[in-house]
Amino acid sequence: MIKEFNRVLANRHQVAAEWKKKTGGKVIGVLCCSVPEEIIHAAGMLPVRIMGAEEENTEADLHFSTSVCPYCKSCFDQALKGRYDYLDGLVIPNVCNMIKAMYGFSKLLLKIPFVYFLEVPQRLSENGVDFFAGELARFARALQVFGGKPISGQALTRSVSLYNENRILLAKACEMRQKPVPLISGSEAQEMVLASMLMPKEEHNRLLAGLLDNIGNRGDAPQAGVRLFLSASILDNTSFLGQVEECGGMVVADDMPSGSRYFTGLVNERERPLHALADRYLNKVACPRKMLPEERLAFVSAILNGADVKGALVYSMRACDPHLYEYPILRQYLGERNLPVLFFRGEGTEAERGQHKADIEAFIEVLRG
Amino acid sequence: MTTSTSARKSLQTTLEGPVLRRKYYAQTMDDSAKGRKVAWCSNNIPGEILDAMGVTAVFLENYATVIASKRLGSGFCAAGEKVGFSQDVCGYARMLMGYVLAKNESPEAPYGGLAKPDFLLVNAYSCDSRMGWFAAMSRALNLPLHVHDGLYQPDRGDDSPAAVAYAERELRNLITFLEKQTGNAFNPEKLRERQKLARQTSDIMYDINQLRKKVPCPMGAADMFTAVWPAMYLAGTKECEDFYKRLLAEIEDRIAKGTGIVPEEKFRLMWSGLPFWYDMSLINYVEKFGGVVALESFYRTRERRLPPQDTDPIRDMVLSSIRQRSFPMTISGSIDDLVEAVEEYKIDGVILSFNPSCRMLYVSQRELQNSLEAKGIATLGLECDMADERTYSEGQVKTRLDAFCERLLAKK
Repeated sequence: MIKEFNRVLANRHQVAAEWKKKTGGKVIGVLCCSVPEEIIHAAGMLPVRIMGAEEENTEADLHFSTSVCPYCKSCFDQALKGRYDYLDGLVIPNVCNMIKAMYGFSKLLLKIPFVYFLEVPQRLSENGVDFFAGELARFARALQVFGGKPISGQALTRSVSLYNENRILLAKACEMRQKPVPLISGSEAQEMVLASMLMPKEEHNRLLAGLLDNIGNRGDAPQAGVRLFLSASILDNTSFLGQVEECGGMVVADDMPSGSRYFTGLVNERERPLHALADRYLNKVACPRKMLPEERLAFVSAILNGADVKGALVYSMRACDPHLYEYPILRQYLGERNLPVLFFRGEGTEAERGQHKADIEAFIEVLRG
Repeated sequence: MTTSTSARKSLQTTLEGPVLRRKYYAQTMDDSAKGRKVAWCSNNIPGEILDAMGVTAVFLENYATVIASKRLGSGFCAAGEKVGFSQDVCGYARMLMGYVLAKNESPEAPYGGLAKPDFLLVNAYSCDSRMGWFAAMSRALNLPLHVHDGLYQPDRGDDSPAAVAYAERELRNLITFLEKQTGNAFNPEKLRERQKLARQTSDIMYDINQLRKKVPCPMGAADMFTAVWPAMYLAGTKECEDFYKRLLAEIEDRIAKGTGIVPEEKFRLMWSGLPFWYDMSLINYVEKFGGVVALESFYRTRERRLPPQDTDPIRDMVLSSIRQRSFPMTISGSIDDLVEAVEEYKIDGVILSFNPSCRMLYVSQRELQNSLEAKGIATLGLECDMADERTYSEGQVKTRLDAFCERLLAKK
């Protein structure tokens, strides 16, 4: 069953294209954790997370200089190479400088019929929730016009419920990596999260429920490693976590957008759906772009509680300012919890692995004492 | 190592700019000593509101350019890096974090340092760096931080009730925060007065920029990079308006007399992006070839200000900022803006500065360069940080400028 998540991740373009062929529905790409996928789902469309690839950015290098965010550059490179030609739409939220710049670049350089900029408040506040709820209503209207179909209140309520179920299941599945003898590895947990961003949630929920029913009988459980916490900006593949495991470590708790930040925080199903979505996506997605350090550290603290980790890894993309500014604060906080920290300034490339491997091995040796 | 780092100015009025700046920093110290509340601010915090509430604003990005222009940037940056801030983050922020957290490791601060802050104000919507930087500073100094948000609106012009209400509430939240911090009441009349003066001043700036289209160039970027300071930090004051009136008069006089920047103007350049503050003399370097950097893209006043949009000064501020065409927010808008300026100002070539630590501007520079070249406009891209002179290789930059100028002369 775990292999199925891996299959989706490895064949993500094919999975989306096949869904489109089978259902006749539209596929909408999204960047970042700030876009409420529920609305896209309620419109009968498939939201898929835009991800890069570990290959040379031969096309994007023609348009962006060397120090542009490696993640955005890689995503754009994939689009320019035609890997995302099946997309009907693309939603770009107002988050970091790099992602919001992609709105203009997408309109200029890509041939995607529907490119939508979602205005997202840049600080947590009640004023922000009210405004964002209005922006989500406007987004829903734009999708209705584009799709030629109304989004009913019932459909939205169902989508909210379905996505909450996914969050609960993902949280349960990820807990399995924290068992004294882990039932799933850190990289497998991340694979489940990434797959969730790429396939219909109904199917993902079915797979997760099946996995949770049967995981106790797993014959090929991963080897326990030195228990680690990982805080990262973007890691849109499992290479880094896989490497940690090869070196004798195991990420059992994470703070990353392709991990716990994706599923932490439920949408309040007793509230008006758009307002509840606005509250969840604005106030509960723990991104340092809009969350101040006190709130971020509270989130990290909750993640660490009970995780029993021996050390921490911090991986920040080279040009990811929100994480780079946070690092000295996070390092101090982790130090106060007696957690040694190993920092990576990432490029998201295959080439950096050699250096990372040596650093991780040495770090794990130190932790083993 | 260059011997002179500041640009040679051609206009007498411009020379008053640094005098006003020094006076402003001295005034902030004086205000602090007299017990007036001091706010350390990021750019885009509306200084007019602070003034209307009796708060002294100190804009840290401006102070960073002062440090950089005195070639102290690397010392402060290194101090910032020592306390954990990556070399990848904004040079301005690294310098100021060095100033705040590693005073003993930093060089002596210009103007005797900054007035001690009582609280911090950061604008959330334009730049990632500011949020991270001010949040870190707030913790380090144990001072209250207010985050002020606004609309991004890449396509501009959405003055729907919801958008206006959000922006208005954010400004009113700022006022509430200031009232709490200072005990002072907001004075709308004072704000209205400042807005009126700021409008008048901005229109003078627009007129000045229109006159800069003349050949020979009456005022180049070497002057404007200095002369823009009062408009950014003293907007809405009589002192500021008077400065630009004198500047306008001097430009008109130069045009009447046919006085340019160089004896015989052979080609005109535009500077796109932030300059390298630690070597502003680079702007004059092209003059030995008969060239002049006639325009800078970043600080250009693009249109006359709209009349007041509402009798309430806060609503006026919101509506004006939404409805006014200002700095372009998308790559297409930036391309159009640049191409239009090239045509209007009869520009022969564009120098694009690539400042890697300023993500907001850096991300567009390559595509801007591509688009200009595709239209047959000569370009030169220079990659150096705007503040950290360790990234600067003077010899290499000048060799490339030599070749660029020769190329332009050959085309003539």
